[in-house]
Amino acid sequence: MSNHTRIALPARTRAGITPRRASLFTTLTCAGALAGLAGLAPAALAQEAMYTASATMPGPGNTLIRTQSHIFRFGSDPTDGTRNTTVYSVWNTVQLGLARDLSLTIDAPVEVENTTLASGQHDTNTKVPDVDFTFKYRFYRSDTGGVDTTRAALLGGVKLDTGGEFNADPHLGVVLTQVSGRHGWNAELHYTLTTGGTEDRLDNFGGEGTADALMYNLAYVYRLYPSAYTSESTGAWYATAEINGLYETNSDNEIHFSPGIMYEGRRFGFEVMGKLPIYSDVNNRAELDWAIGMGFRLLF
Amino acid sequence: MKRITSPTPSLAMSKTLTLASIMLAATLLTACQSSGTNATSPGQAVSGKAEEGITHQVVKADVDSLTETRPLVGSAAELWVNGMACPQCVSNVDLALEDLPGVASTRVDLGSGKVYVTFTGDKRPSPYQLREAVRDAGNTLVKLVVPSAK
Repeated sequence: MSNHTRIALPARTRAGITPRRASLFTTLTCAGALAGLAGLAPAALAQEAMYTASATMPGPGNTLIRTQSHIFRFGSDPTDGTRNTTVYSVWNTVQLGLARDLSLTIDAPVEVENTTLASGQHDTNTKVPDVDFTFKYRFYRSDTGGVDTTRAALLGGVKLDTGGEFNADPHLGVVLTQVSGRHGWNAELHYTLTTGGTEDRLDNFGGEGTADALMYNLAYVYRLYPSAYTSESTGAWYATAEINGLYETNSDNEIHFSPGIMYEGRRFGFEVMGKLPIYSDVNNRAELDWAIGMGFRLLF
Repeated sequence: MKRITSPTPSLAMSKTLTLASIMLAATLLTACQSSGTNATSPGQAVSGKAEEGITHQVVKADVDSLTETRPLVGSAAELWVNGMACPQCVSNVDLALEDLPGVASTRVDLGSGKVYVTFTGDKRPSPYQLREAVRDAGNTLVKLVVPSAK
């Protein structure tokens, strides 16, 4: 696969990731650096399912580190005849609390792609995708009870292609979070403007071509246990269900259903989730067949 | 998977935007319906429904007292906090409060929506500092109780 520049969505929410050839050494270096970062102090990014943002953020001076591992399985690509592609990816996220109601999120994914070509041959690539910087500004907060809250935030940032040719794709969004007792909702709209990109459609697994992209996500978070917090409560189990939509201005449109389980403790959390397509009108890239993911958050 | 083809790109865009609008509208509606009195708003009484019927009953004087800038007196304080929606949310409160002068320890009780703080040394934070620290953490302090005032 060639080295090329394409539009890419904010890393946490997209189905595929902009790839660039990278040596195994580079990948291992990044993995080591991220493992080192895991030793730093994170803070809360709570009530957030895997693919939909929330209007929560670390406090000023605090840091969150979150790692998610995914396996995406894509079907045949109508543009090049590829039979299927399996993407193994690790999304590494650092979120910095800059001020009250303002944070900066840096996403730096790493991935390995296994592709079965039209000829039946297999191709494997290890890649370090582009880096995404996203500011989150919480412009509304209403805490109406011990656990009840409604919050809204603006999301804005840029996706930097640091590959062969420099490219920056700005993106802007809004997210609303509402928690009432055991029930929580997150709704997100996020638009990415393509300023560069090429017509090379290889490796485009959604939002990574030359078209602009609109993500529309909705997540429902239900606290399974405990049904009611007590003075002894230090953690909670949640069931999550997400609807993740992606519309591109080339008329491709795909909606996924993503059920999952999440645990949140005071200082750590983990999550497991699946992803299945429920609507697909895609003509410019491969469709998603399924995906599974798991993630960890460390808090101390 | 069966592919569904939309007639035109504009129609597909229309469908997408309609769906997105419905999703946002439904969430906004749910949020508006469940929102009660804003604990941060001035008023005769400030109340907030808490977990499973535990309620923070607060009057305007409680909220007004949180603007006091003189240091607290005593070795402990009880903070009534709204918006601690989950276990990880309270870690922000812990970290923010522990940065204040004189704070020795914090303990969050999600069941009552309260944070218990103990102090050490000569320094003490003021109610205003406590309110701002909780606000920095993304939550709302609605009442402050010190043992001597109980």
